[in-house]
Amino acid sequence: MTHKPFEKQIADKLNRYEVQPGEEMLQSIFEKRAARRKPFMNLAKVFLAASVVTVAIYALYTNNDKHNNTVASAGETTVKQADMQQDKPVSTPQEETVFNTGKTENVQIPAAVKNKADKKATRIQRRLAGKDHSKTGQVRVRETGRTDDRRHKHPEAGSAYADNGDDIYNRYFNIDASRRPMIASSRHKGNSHLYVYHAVSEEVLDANTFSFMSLNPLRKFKYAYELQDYEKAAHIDAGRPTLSRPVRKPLFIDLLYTPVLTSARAADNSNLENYVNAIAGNTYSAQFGIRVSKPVTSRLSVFSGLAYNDQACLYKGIVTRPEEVTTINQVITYINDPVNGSMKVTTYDTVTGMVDKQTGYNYRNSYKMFQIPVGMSYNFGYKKFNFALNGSALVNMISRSAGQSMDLNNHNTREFSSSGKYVGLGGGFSFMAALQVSPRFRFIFEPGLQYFKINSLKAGNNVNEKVFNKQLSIGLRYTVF
Amino acid sequence: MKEEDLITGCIKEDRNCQKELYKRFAGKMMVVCLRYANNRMEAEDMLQDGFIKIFDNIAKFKREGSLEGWVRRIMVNTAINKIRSNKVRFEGIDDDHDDYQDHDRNVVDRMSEQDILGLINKMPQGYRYVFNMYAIEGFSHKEIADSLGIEEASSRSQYAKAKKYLQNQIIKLEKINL
Repeated sequence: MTHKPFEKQIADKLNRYEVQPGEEMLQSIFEKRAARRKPFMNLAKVFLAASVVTVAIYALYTNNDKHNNTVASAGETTVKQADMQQDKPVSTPQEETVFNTGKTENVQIPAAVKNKADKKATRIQRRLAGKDHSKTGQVRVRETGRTDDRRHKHPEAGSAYADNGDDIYNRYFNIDASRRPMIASSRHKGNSHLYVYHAVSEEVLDANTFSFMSLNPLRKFKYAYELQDYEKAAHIDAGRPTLSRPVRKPLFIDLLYTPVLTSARAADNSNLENYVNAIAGNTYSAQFGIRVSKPVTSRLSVFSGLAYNDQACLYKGIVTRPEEVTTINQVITYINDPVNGSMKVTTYDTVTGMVDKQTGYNYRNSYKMFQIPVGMSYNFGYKKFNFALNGSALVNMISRSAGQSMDLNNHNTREFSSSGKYVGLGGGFSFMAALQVSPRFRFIFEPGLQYFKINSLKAGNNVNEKVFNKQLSIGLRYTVF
Repeated sequence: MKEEDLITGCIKEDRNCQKELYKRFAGKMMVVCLRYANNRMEAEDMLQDGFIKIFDNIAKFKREGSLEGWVRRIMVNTAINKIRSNKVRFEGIDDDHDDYQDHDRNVVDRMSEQDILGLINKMPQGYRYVFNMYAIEGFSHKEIADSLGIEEASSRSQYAKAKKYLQNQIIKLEKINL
C-alpha cells in the first residue's frame, strides 16, 4: 500500500477544514472599506469648501477695506473713544485735559458694532505695545500711512494742503468737512512713524451719524527720517511709488466649459495593447469646472480648481489577427491490385497553418471623473487682452467607469461597469487669452492639451488606458480685488 | 450563483455578491490565516485585510485559474506581508527522537483537522511559516527565502526541522490518545 507524503496528508486535511470567523467580520470589512473611501471623496468637498471660504473671506476683507477708505476717520476716532472709556483707569489726567472729550458715556454705540470695534482696537493696541507714546500726552487715533490714496482727497483740497496743517489730514481722512468728527488734532514724529492724533466732538458723538469700521493696521511712513518737516509729506505726490503703499493682488475665479476631442489608447505593455491601439479612434467629451488663480509675482501665478470630466474613449475598426488553423486534406489515389483490380485509397493529411482573421469592433468606454489641476501660469498682456501660459499637474478621481473590453479569443467584447473609485495622474498645458469686458469680468478662450492615464483594470477593463485630450475652453473670469 | 456572475457582481460593488463571495471562502481562508497568525485575533485581522484586498482588486482577476486559488493567494500574501512586518525568530529546537518512519503512516488521517491546526499553531514561528509556505502553499525555498528575507539554505533547514518537529508532536499526541 502506498502512502501519501506527510506534507500532502497535512495539506489535504487543512485545505478541507473550515473555521468560521466572527459574525461581525463581514460588516467590519464593509465598514472599513467605506471608511477608507471617505477621505478620497472628502478631498473634493474639502477643496470646494476651502475655495468658497477663501473667496468669501477675501471678498469680505476687500469690501471692508474699501469701506474703511471712505469713512475710516470717523469710525476709528469713535472706536478710540470707546477705548478711552475702557482705558480710563490707566489714562493720565493730562490726556483728559488735552482732549476735553470726557463725556464719552453719551455715545450710543450698538453693542455688536462696539464689540467688533473694541476687539480690533485692542488688537492694534497690543501690537503697538512697547512704543513710546508719552511724548504726545494724547490718545492716538490714527497713523498716517495711507497718504498716497487719491480717493481720499478732500473735495476742496488743492494746493492749500501744503500751507494748512489740518488740510494735510484731510488728505488722510477722506470725509466731508461738515461731517468730520474731529475738533482737535495733534501730530507727532516718532522714531519711524508719523502719527496724527484726533479727538472727537461731543456733538458728533451724540449725533451718532457715523458708522464703526475696523481699523487699518499702522503702516510705516518711509520718509520719516528723511523729511525735516513731516508736514512736507503733503507735497509727496499721491501716485509716487516711493510711499509705502499696500499692493493687493487680485484673485481670479474662472468658470470654464470645455469641449474635448479625445484620443485614447491602451496603456499596457501587453499583446492586447497592439490590437486595441489598432482601432483607437477620436471622440468628443466634455468638461466643466472652476479654477481659482492667484498672482505670486507680476508675471507668475498659481492656480488650482475642480473640474467634472465626462470622459469618453472610442475604439472602432477592424482587428486582423493571425490564428492557427488546422485543416485536413483528403487525398484519394487508386492502385491496381492484381487480385482485386483497381482499389481506391484515401489518405488524410493534417495541415496546420496561420490565417488572418478579421473582427470588427465598435465600442466606447466612459469614465466620470473629478479633476484637480494644480499648476502655474506665466502671464502677460496687451491693452484689454490678458494672456497666460498654464502648466499643471492633474489628479483625476474616477468615480464611475463603464464600457467594453476586447475579447480576442471569442471575437467580441466583454462589458465592464464599476462604481469603484480610483485615482489617476496626468498633466496639462494650455494657452489662455482673456478679453476684459468690465473691470471685474473677462471672457476666456483657452486651447489646451491634457494627457493622463486611467487605471481601468481596476474597473474591470482588460487594459489600462491613456488619454490625450485636445481642449478648447470657453469661460468667464471674475476678478476679486 | 455562478462564479462568473459572482465576480461581475463584485466588480460592480454589488453587496449581495460580495456577501456570497465572503460566505463561500471565509471559512477556508480563516484556516489559512490561523496557520500564520499567533492568535485568533491576529488571524481575523489578516482575514479582514485580505477580503478588503480581494474586493478592491477583483476586477484584476483574469478568470484564467480558479477563483478560490486567486483568493487563497491573496490571503496568503496578506498573511506573509503581515508576518514580515514582525520580527520572525528562526531557531532550532532539540526534540525527542521518535522516528516517524517507524510509525503507522495513517496517524495523520486519524487525527482531526482541529488537532493538526493546533499542532501547527504550537510550532515555533520560523518553523510554522516555512512549513506552511513550503508544504501547504507550495512555494519554493527560493520564494520563501525572498519573502521572509532569509537565506535559501535557512529555509531548507527550517523546513526539515519543522517537519521533524511536527511529526514528533503528532506521535506524542497519538501516544497520549492511546
